[in-house]
Parts: sequence; structure tokens; C-alpha cells
Amino acid sequence: MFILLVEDDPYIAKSIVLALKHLDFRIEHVSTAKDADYFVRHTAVDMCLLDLGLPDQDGLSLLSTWREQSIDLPVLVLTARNQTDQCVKALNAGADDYLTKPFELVELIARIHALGRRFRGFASNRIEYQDLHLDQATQQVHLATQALNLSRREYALLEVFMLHPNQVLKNEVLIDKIYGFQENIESNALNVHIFHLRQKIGAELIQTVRGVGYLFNAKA
Amino acid sequence: MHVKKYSLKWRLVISIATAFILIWAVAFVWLYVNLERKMTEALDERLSASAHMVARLLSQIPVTQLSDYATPVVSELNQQNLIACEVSLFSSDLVIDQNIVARTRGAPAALAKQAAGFSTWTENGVTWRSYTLKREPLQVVAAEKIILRNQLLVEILQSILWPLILTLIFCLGLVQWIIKKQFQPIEQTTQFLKLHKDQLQRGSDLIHQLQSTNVPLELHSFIEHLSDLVSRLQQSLENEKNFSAFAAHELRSPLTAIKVHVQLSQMIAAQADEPTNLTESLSEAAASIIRYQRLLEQLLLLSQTEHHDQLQNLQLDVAVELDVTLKQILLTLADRYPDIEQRVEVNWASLKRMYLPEQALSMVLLNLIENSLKHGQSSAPIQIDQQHDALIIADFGVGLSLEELQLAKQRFWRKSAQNHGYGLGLALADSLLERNGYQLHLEANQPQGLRAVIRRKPN
Repeated sequence: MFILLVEDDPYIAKSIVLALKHLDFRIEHVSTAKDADYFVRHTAVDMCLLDLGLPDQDGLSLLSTWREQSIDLPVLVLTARNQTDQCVKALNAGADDYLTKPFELVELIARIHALGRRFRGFASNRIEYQDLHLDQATQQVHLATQALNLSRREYALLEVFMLHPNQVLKNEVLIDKIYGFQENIESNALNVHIFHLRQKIGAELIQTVRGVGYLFNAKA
Repeated sequence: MHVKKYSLKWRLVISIATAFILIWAVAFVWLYVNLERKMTEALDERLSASAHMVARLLSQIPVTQLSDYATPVVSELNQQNLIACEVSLFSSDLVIDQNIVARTRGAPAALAKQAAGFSTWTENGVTWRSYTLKREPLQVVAAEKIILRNQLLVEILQSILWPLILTLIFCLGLVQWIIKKQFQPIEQTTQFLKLHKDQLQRGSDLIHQLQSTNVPLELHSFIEHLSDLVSRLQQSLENEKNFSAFAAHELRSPLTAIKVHVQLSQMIAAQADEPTNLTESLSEAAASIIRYQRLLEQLLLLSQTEHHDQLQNLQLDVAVELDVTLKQILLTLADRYPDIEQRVEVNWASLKRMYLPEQALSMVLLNLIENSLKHGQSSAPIQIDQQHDALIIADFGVGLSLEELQLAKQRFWRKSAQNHGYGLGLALADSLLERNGYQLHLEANQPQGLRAVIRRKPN
């Protein structure tokens, strides 16, 4: 899952980035409302963790602007403001969830999963296609009863495919979802990951759409 | 009546009335003394004139003719309240009764025995004032009863006193009316402030409105200073609020970073099967963070509570079901006290509604119950019960002495340095209850332990 963290405090940002990266989330950090707005409009962000006290614009106002412009990105507000009225304001401005600092890391992760699940209309953290089962909470993948040993990138790639079944996903979108912006990517890196993934889950599930990208064939 | 006692208007009325009564009383006493002296002089002159008049009249009658009267002539015209008079023949050194020429009816027997000039004397319980004129061969004595003089004095004083009293009453009424009239702008100001007391957060606007009303010149300076004071107070409260908000943000932010780092380290250590001492160290760090976080939250809440306007905070229409909140609190505490079900005994049937915001009630219950769990080390369970609208949380631990009970609600007070906690729980509970129309009373439990009683403030 590609998460955008909008947080002006570098120490908090660093801690969250480290934690979520460790948990195999693809995460990008920006510290201003302007950068956040740019990222949301120009990349395939799956979720935004938004701090309210940003230096150039209040987080709530940024959120309201997104909602007015029909940007329906799931937004989890992270803030030190713990009054009920602040929470109500954030939810009314379009936040999907609200977490007060200092929070428990496990709670943050659980809320990220819950929000992602809710946004995609799933009832649980498990995504299943035939014998293939992916658990977002534990990040474990099973093919029938056999646990698969996937690398971080392979897991991220499979998660993107399973979240967007039967959709042609462009190469750039897939790269966006699994790599950070400052990471150096070999030109064939995506193909290598796809090759390894096909070996583990079966070649027929991921189809190549020539000149465009790949498609997760859930009907296969 | 109690209000009037301290009212400036009534104090002014009473002061002026007292001054009037005192001045009137002094004037009356002065008048009385003066009048009595003047009246005595005038009546004495009348007695003297009467005696001289009689003497002059009788001197026109030859002495031989006068001495022919064997028995004294008694005037038939005498009335009880007229001047008594006696005329007798007078030889240079003795007066003989047989020589009485004439005397008025009812005249006292001792008239002839009086020395020349004025004298006051008593006969048969009646006090007389007499004037004796000795002009040979006649002695004329004129006398009158002192009681008559006094009656006259009283009548004169009464004729003065009644108008005086009526004037005084009229003056007092007038003074009260004038003061009431002149105090009207102040009363209007007071009424205005009373009506708008819930709008003090908009103090400047309020004072501006007040200035446009008919405020007396003497109050302008006061109002200006009040306006200035309200503005400063508003600014100060705003600063406090901002400070709390900034403090909350600035203190929570680094804590968040530390907490996430420690929890991530714990996660990594657990996955990597790290040595026990590293895991323990991280657990200790996590526990310290939780303690620090609780202290921070309590301090911030205490600060917010203390700077919050009581009237604004008092929400009489907010009713919370006590059992629902208590269940939630016990569930929260179960994380830290897994045996809480055995350690807390609740009389669920007795629990009713309480009228304060749920967040405040939760914090109060959490602090009081945790306080009992921490400090009330006893095998007997903590009892929670509601009796006659008083919520009671009682433990059977070591309790507190009378001196300690006095100190227990002070911030940062701890019974012993070895005790866990920061001495904020009871202070915060007390402050939250106080702001929401409740009182927290701590007392010794029987046979031992501490009893925390929460009840509504009277009115």
C-alpha cells in the first residue's frame, strides 16, 4: 500500500516512515501542504496520514479542498489536538479516521488496514482469489495451504494486483506503488519481480499487456 | 435584606438617616434645655408680676381697713390650675396666720412661711414654685404648681416635636427617593452585567455596549479600567489556552517519535529473537513512555480544567449513565490490572445518572478507582455504590490520616516517595468535579481505608 505521510515534525515523520517501511508499506513523506497536494494529484497514493498543524496551511483546510474537488483518497488524521471538537471538525472536514498523538504503533497499523479495507469495501484483512490468500494484517500469503515466502517487493506487488483485480495496471503505477521516489530502480526491476512472483503464485494469474503493463486475472 | 445590608444605596440611606436623626435629636435637646430655662424665667416673672400687682392694688387700701378682717377672704374665683395667692399683714419680723387678709382657694398652707423671693418647695407631695414679696405692712405670695409648668413645657415640646418628626420622615423619604433615582444608572449597569455575565468571553464588546448606556461620570473611569481589565483577562486566558494547545503539541510530538521508535524496536527485537535483556530494556522504556504520557495528559487536562470558565463548562443538561461509563473504565483498567474483577465490587443496581460530561466523569472514575487499586492494598475488594445520589468509592487499605486527608487533593501530593503515581489523580478529579457542579469528599472508611464520596453541590 502506498501511503503518503504529511507531517512537519521530522522526528515523528522519521519514526513513522521507519516503522511503516519495516512493515513493508510503501511510504513517502512530505512536510508541507503544498507538497502533499502535489503528491496526491500526481501519484497513485492509496492513503494519506495527515497532520493538522502544517507550516503553510492548516491540514483541515487542505483536506476540505481535496473533498470539495472530489479527491476521495482515504485520509487518517494524526494530530496532537485531542479535544472532541477538534476530532469532530476533522471528521466533518472529510477525514476518514482520527488518531491522537502519541499513539500506539499497532493501533496506527490496525487503523491503516481498517481504513484501506473499508475504502475498498472489504470486510476483512484477507483478500482471496481461488486458492491464493493474502492477509494484510500479518502480511502472509498462502497458496492453498502452503505459506509462500515473498520478498517485500513481491508482497507489495501482489497486494497491488489483488487490490485491483482484472484491471490493467501501467508499469509506472506499479513502480509508484512499490518503490520510493528516491530509490534507484533498475530498468528491468519490475519485470524481475513479476517473474519471481509468477514462479511462486502461478504464471497464469498475472498477464502481460504489451506496451502498457500487467493485469491480475482473477478469473484464471 | 441580606443584599440590602451590603448595598451601597442602602448604606447611604441609612447613613444619611442616622445623621439626620442625630442632628434632629441634638437640636431637640438644645431646644428643650433652652425652652425650659426661658419658660422658667418667664413663668417666674409672671409670678413676680402677679405678686407685685396684688401688692400695688392692696397698697391703695388703708392698712386699718385691711386689719379689720377677722377671717381671711377666700376668693371664689380660684381654680385648681391658676396661680395661688395669699396676702397677709406683715410686721417687720413676724407673720401671724391670723393676719392673713386674703388667699385663693386650694392655696397651700405653707405659702406664708416662704422666704422673700423665689423658692421651690413641696407640700403634700405637690411641688410648688412661689414668689414672696414683702412690702410692709403687706406680704404677698404668689405660687403655682411645678407640674403645671412641666405640662406646659411638654405641650410646647410636643407641638414642636410632631412637625419635627414628620419633617424627618419626609426628609428620609426624600433622601431615599433621590438616592434611588441617582443610583438608577448604577443599577442599570449592574443589571446589564448580570444579564450578560455569560458573555464575558466577549468582554470588550460588552463594555462597549455598557459605555453606550447612561453611566454616570464618576463611573466612567471605573468602566474604562474594567474594560481594560477584562481585555487583559481575555488576553491572558487566550494566552493560557494557546499555551496549553502549544504545550500539548510540543510535548506530544517528541513523545510520539520516541514511542514509535521504541515500539518499532520492540517489534524488530521480537522478530529477530533478540536477547532477553534487550527486550526487557525496551519494555521498561515503553512502560516509562506510558507513564510519561499519562503524566503529560493529566497535566494538560488539569491546566485546561483550571483555566476553563466554570459557567461555560457547567452543562446541566448533560446526563451520563454511570453504569455504562463505569463498565468502560473497568475495561480500560483491566489492561493494567488483570484481576480487576476480583478487586472491584460494584453495586450495579444502585447506579444512576450523573450530570457532567462523559469525558470528565471517565477521568474522575479512572483516577479514583486507580488510586484505590494502587494505594488501597487490601484483600477486601473496592466497593462502588451510589447512595442517595452520592457516588461512593471505598477501599479497605491503609487509608489516610486526618492531616493527610487535608492534603490529598493538593497537586503533586504523595503519601510517600515510594508510591507510584504523581499526586495528580485526586487533584484532577477534584478540579473536574468542581467545574461541573460536583464535590469530592475524602474521608476515612470503616473499619479502615479511604472513602471517596462524590455528590452534587447544593444549588
